[in-house]
Order: sequence, then C-alpha cells, then structure tokens
Amino acid sequence: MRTRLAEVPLLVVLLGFSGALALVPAAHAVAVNETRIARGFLYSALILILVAVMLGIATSSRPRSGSTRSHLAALVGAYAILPLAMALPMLETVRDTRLANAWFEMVSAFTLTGATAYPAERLAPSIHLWRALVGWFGGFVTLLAATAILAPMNLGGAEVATGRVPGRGTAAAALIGRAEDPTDRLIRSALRILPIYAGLTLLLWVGLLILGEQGITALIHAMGTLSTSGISGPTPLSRAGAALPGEMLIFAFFLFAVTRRAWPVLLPGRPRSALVADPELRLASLILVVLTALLFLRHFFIAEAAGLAGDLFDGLASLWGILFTAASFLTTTGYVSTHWLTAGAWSGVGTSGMVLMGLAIFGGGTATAAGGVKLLRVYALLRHGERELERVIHPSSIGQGGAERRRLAGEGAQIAWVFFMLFGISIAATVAALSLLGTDFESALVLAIASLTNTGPLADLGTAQPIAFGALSDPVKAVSCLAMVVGRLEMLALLVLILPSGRRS
Amino acid sequence: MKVIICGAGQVGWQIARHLAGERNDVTLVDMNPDLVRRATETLDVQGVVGFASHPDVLEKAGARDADMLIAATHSDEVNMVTCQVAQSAFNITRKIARIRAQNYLAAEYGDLMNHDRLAIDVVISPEREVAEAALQRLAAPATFDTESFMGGRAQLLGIQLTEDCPVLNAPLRQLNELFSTLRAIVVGIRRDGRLFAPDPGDQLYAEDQIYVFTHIQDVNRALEIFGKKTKKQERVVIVGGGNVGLAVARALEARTDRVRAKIIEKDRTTAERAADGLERTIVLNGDGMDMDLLMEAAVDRADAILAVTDDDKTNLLVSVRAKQAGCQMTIALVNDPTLAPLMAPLDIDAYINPRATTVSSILRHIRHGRVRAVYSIGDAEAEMIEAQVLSTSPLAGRLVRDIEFPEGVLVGAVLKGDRVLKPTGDLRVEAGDVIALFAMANDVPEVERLLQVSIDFF
Repeated sequence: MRTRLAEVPLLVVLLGFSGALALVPAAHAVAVNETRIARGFLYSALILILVAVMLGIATSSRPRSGSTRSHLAALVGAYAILPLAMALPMLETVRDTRLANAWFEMVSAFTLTGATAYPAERLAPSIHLWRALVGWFGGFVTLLAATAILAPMNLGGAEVATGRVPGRGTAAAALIGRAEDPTDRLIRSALRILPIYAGLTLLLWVGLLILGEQGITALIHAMGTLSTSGISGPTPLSRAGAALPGEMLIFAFFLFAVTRRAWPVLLPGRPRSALVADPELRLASLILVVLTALLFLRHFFIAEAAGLAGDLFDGLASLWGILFTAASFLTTTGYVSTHWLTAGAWSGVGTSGMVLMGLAIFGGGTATAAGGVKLLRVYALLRHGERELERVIHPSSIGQGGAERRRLAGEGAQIAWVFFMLFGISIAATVAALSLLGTDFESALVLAIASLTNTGPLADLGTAQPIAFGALSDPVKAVSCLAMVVGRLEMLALLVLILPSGRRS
Repeated sequence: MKVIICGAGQVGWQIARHLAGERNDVTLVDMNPDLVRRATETLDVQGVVGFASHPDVLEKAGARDADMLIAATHSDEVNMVTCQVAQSAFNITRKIARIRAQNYLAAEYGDLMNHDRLAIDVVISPEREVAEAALQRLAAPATFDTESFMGGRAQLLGIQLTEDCPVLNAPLRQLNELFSTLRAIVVGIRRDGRLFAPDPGDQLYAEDQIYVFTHIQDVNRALEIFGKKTKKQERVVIVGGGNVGLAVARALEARTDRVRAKIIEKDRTTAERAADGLERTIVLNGDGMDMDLLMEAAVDRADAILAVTDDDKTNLLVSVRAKQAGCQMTIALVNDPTLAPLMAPLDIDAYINPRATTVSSILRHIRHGRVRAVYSIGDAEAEMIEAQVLSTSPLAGRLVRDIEFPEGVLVGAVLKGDRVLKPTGDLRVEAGDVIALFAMANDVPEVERLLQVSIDFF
C-alpha cells in the first residue's frame, strides 16, 4: 500500500483523501436522518475517489520525479485544484448556491482562513462539519508541508533559523536528499504527524464535550482550534455552552499554533530544549501580556473615570476576554471570547479591531498551522534591532547569546526582513486590487489582511461594520481567495517555485 | 628525593633547575635529544630521550624508585597518560600534571583526576594560574606586590609609602594600639634599598616600601591606613580573548561588585567563543592596537587594562598605548623573561610571566609536606613561609611571646581551624595550626629548624 501510494503523484493522493473525507459528513447526515445531504456527500465522495483512482492508474506508470521541488509544485497545485473538488459536495448539498460561493468557502476553509460566504443558519450541521473537516485536512497538509516539503527546501521559517538562501538545502542535505527519497520522507512525516494531530483534536473534542458543548459543535471547535481555521459550526464559540472553562481549554491548545516545539514529534533529530526557553513562546507571551495589560488598563481608566470600575467580576471577565481573543487572533485562529464585549460594555468604549489585525499580522509560530508573518521572523527582526542598537554604542562588538542567536539576528533577520517586505507588498497589492474592484478602502484593507493572514473572523471584528463575504462580488472573492493561498503558502515559497526555471535560461 | 620531570620546555626546565638546586635527584625526559643534552650539560640532572608516557622510557628514567613525577609536556593527553602509567606500572606516589584544556577541569567532572581514576594528585592549569595572578593584580591596584596565603584567607601586600600616608613617624607598637581590630601586621620594611624585619619601636617614613600581612577582609582597610585610596576597579579592558582573557572575564563577572569588563579579540572565532562563554561582558572584535577600537572600549576611562594576547610585543605596545590614552593601570602578559626590565621605562604597572607563574605554583605543590607555601620577596632577600606546626616542633604549645625567633623573623598570622588570627604575645601556637612566617634569607635555616621540617619534609 505504502509503495503503491508512493508511485502516485502527491496531488492525486490528496484528491483521493479529500474524497474519502467526504464520507464523514455523509455518515453524520445518515445519523441525523438528512438523507438528501447524506446522498450528496456520498455521491461526491465516490466521484472524487473514483477520479483519484483513475488518475492514479493513469499517472502511476510515469517515471517518478520525486524531488522536493516537485512536491512543492504539487502543494501549490493542491491549493489551486483541491478546493474546486471539495466544492463538489457543497454544490450537491447546499440549496441555491453557485460554484463561486462554494469554491470561496472551500478555499477559505482549506487555507485555514475560516471566512464563510453563508450565514451559519443556512447550512446544515453536516455541511458545517464538512467545512471544519476541510479546514482540519488543510491544517494537516500545512503541518506536513512545513515539515517534509518546506523545511528541507529551507523555506517556511527554516530560512530564518539557518540564515541561508531560501529554496535550497545545504550541501549535506543534498547528499542525504539523494540517499533518502523525498516521497519516503513525506510519507514517514505524514504517518508521524497524523496520529498526534488527530489525537490532540480528539483530546480537545472530549475536553469540550465534558465542559458542556454539544457533540458536533465541540468537534468543529476542536478541529478549528488545532488547525487554526477558526471555523465555527452552527453555533459560535461564545454560545456553544462550554463557557469560560471551555475557552481556557482552547486557550491551552493555542500553544500548538505558537511554537512547533510544543508538538511532540515534528522535530526529528533536533535537541529538545526547554519549551519555556522557546523564543516564539516567549515573544507570544510578551505580546499577549503587554497588549492585554494595555487594553485592560485603557478600559479600566475609562471605567474608573465614569465611576463604573467597582465591579470586580466584570473587570476580570473583560481581562480574560481580551487575553483569549488576542491569543486567538495572534495564532490566526479567530475565535472570539464570550467576554470580548464585556470590556466594552463595562467601560462603554469598544476595543478597536485594528489591534486584532496587528496581532494577526504577527501570526503564530513557524512550521505550525498558524499564518501571518510568523513569530520567529518578528523575533529575528527584534533581535536584529536590538543588536543594531548595541552596535551604535560598540560598532565592533560581538553579539551575545551563542552562534544560533547571532545567525538569527544577522542573516536570519535579513531574510525575515525580505519576507516582511514581501508580505507588506502583498498587502498593498491586494488592497489595490480590491479597491480597483470597487471595495472601499477600509473594507479592502481588512479583507486583504484577513485573507493574507488567513484569519477570516477579522472581517467581523476589523471594521465597525462586519463584512459579509456572501455579499461580495465574484472578482473580489477571487482576489481574496488568491490572497488566502498566497498567505498560506508564503510568498517566498511561491517565488522559489516560479523564479529559477524562468530566469536561469 | 628522586623526581622525574617529563617535558624539557620552559616550565620543565625551570622546575628542573629549582629542584636540582635543592639537591634532589632529577631526571628529565623529553623527545628532543638536543634539549635533553643541553639540560644535562647545564644542570645537575640526568636526561632520558623518549616519549614520556611509554612505560619503558619511564623505567629507564628510574620510575621504579621515583618519589614524584611531574608531567609538563605540551600535550594534556600525554601528561594524563603519563600519570596513569606512573600510577599503574610503577606506583609513584606523587604525580603532578600540567593540564591546559579547561574542559578537563570543569567542576562537574571534578573527581576525574582522582587517585583511582586519572591518578593525578595535583593539576596545574597555566591559564588558570595566570588568570588568578592577573586578578590578584587587579584586586590590589595600589600595591607593588601581592600574594595570597592560607588558602586565600590572608594576603601579603607590598605598599609604597608616600607623604600622604597618615601614620608616618608613628612607632609600629602605637599603630597596633590605635587600630586594635585591624588584623594586619607590618612584617618587612625596605628603606634605602635594605630590607629588614621591623621591631615594635620602628617608625615608618615616606618613601619606605613595606610588606603587610593582612586578613583578606581587612585588605582595603589596611590600604587606607597606609594612605592608599582603594579605588574600586569598575571598568576593566582585557585585550586578548583566549583562555586567559576569558578566565579573567569570567572571574570578574562572578564577582559581586559589578565590574564592567570589555574584551578585545582579533580573531573572529575566538571572539565569538568568548562572547558565548560570558554573559554581561562586551566582546569587541578587532585589533587591540587599533586606537579607534581602544576608544570604543573606552580605554581612556578604564581603571585597568589587561593585555593578555599571546604576543609579548602586542601586549607591551597595547599597554603603553592605553596608558597614554589615560588608562589608570596597565598589566601585561609577558612570556619572554628578558623583556622584564622594559616595564619601568614603558611605565607598565605590572607584568605576568605565565611560565614563572606555572613554575612557582608547581614548586609550591612540591613543597607540599609541612611547608605549605613559600613566597620569595624582592630579589630573594626574604621569604614568606606558610607551614603547619608539628607536634614535635619547638613552637607547639608555646605562647608567641615565649618563642625565641631569630631577629629577622616575624609571625604574620596564625590559622587555627579556618580562622586567621593576628599574632599577639599571648596567642598560643598549637600543633596542627598553620603559621605564616616572614624570614630574612639568612634566617631561613633557623626557621626550618623551628618548624622541624627537615625531618618530615617529604
């Protein structure tokens, strides 16, 4: 089975798996007696599997290219094609919908953005489950790609740590690469990641069930948290029933989107340093603590001035609301705490969504399912800044903290800076494209950042008026879908894939 | 006593010279026949040509009936194996090895050198000794000579008196009454180039050089009483980030009073290693002779500069340059002993000779018996001897005032248990105490008789 799978192109395998996944909502629909929906999912699943098998047979005789670069190409292809395939069950089951909406929905779920074109009550629970499943599958693909495709090519955050040119491995890695087949590595990584990813999701699901969420809602929230898609089922997190303890549990699981070191197995062969010393975790904690304190104090002083500060419970609840929501947007998940609005209600002024946009741009940890610029790059830039200040005083001094940190603050920061600029340019380009298509500036900005950082719920909180994705015109949807894919794959990886072949001749 | 010395480099050579001069039976082992021949021609030693750790070579050197082996070859590993062979094949009781690499000496592997492991009784680390010497120099900037005794609990200070010393023209007896809590005693005075042990009635004059033996906690107070400002060493610049510089910087970082040290190191890799080994110290990468870099290290405002690169000339020139820029004190590491006379004309405050430091620390360990430390004062005019009082000694059980010390001998301090006591007339010296004696060179044999060391010397 394993050798057979290895002979089939990655894209076809992924297509087959997404078909097989559609059997899950089919089973759910059968269980809740939604025959029409069950039939829709079952037929789509069979069609997709059949197509995948036929494609597999047709392509298996092809000589295997098997390079990491071809895997990268397959990954890009997956983001282009799979959402179309995944839209098939949506078209079959959702009444009165168009391909554009279904496709948008699937791109948004698969890129872990979690923006939705449909009002929650329009979709049946099984269809919500399908969205969450696609997001969950997208999270798995992201983790797998980061470990087995991007890291060996010195991409996806690895370039900041190594400080070398992105897109190439070391000479040593090239030697090993010849000895070890990238496809083998891909399969091995997949088999190592899947049990832990699934296990953690199960753990969170059970935890949420115990704390009082309903079956399918809890599963959707568990999937949404682990994959950072932030997809909510029929009921949003704030009304799902688990209340504060549930939020605390989810908060704990945000850890897996903050640092890759929290994952038990994603780092083969690297010495496991203490999690507490992880720069990404430290930076995330610092950002969260400072930001929460600032926002809370702002509310506190306004409430104090108005003579409303007496209510201790409201104060604590709003503190938690700010902390949870900030963490949720920092990891680009996008769940909103029940108590997010408590702070506003308490002091009478709302909290600006701008702050959340900033957090989403910071993003989570490298090689996790989170999006954004990634904490490691921000950390490298911070260290670089600190180092430059040191050099103003002592121009010939040597940076402290070991060779790794010096590299991070030197060459690593340079590449991080390149990425940061690319990210900035992407934002500018997306905003420009959206504005050209007639969106007003504020919405365009929020849409661009929500798409590029893969944080769909920003559209609800970023501006004063929530942006309804369903009401957007098709070209706008297309642009924001493109931005989502660019944000997910990271511009650097796309450039590495596109540039050399065209430019070298 | 029969001693085998492995390695006829500068250190081995110096030790051989000292030990042969003390009428020991010394055998020198080295791979280089020329060195061995030169040694046997100039010194009263025997020579064996061969690889030090080979058992047959050691046997030829007389390992069967040797009392001590000193392994001072260039290689740490050869030194270790030599000691191991000496232990296992020939059962030599005392083995001293020079070990350079700090990794072998790390505290967590402290028992590595144990008798039943690598079988080394005493490890001499040149870098560590030099770093210690440098630190001692830094600690007492106002002194011209300093040495620690009694395991670091007491210190001998050499102080140059000037007009602003507040206790000039007062008899020493009166000083004793004035500062009754000060645990310090003047053990020697050099006046007009002549060193003598003072009587209680002697007075101090400007331009005198005095030697004071003091409790380590009273060093600063003693310096103040003799008119030396104990300015804290706050900014120290170290040129050279090798083992010595790193060890000094580490020791400075470990001190509780915040000393701000900066290291200048030319080699990028060495500089990075130094930066990684330190926390607060700023490491600058560049040539120590570069004035811009020296100014970047704020050498003009520095309290001391320590030039410890491996090049003598660089060390001397950097020191001169720093002094010119306004640095208060300069200390240079000088390997070539013939450069020593240059220190005064170059206005370098102190110099450290690593080989001399290593030799003296090896010698100190050789004299381990009952005499625990000997420090030669001035041009071998007098010695400071630290020794344990034996029960057979005529000192044991008697009051200090009742002991008939020769005229040129003074008691510096008495160590009972781990307390350092100032000698007073009614202090009773008991067997097992450690006594520190200042003795004029002529009186040393009499002191040895008093200590009864000649019987139990080894």
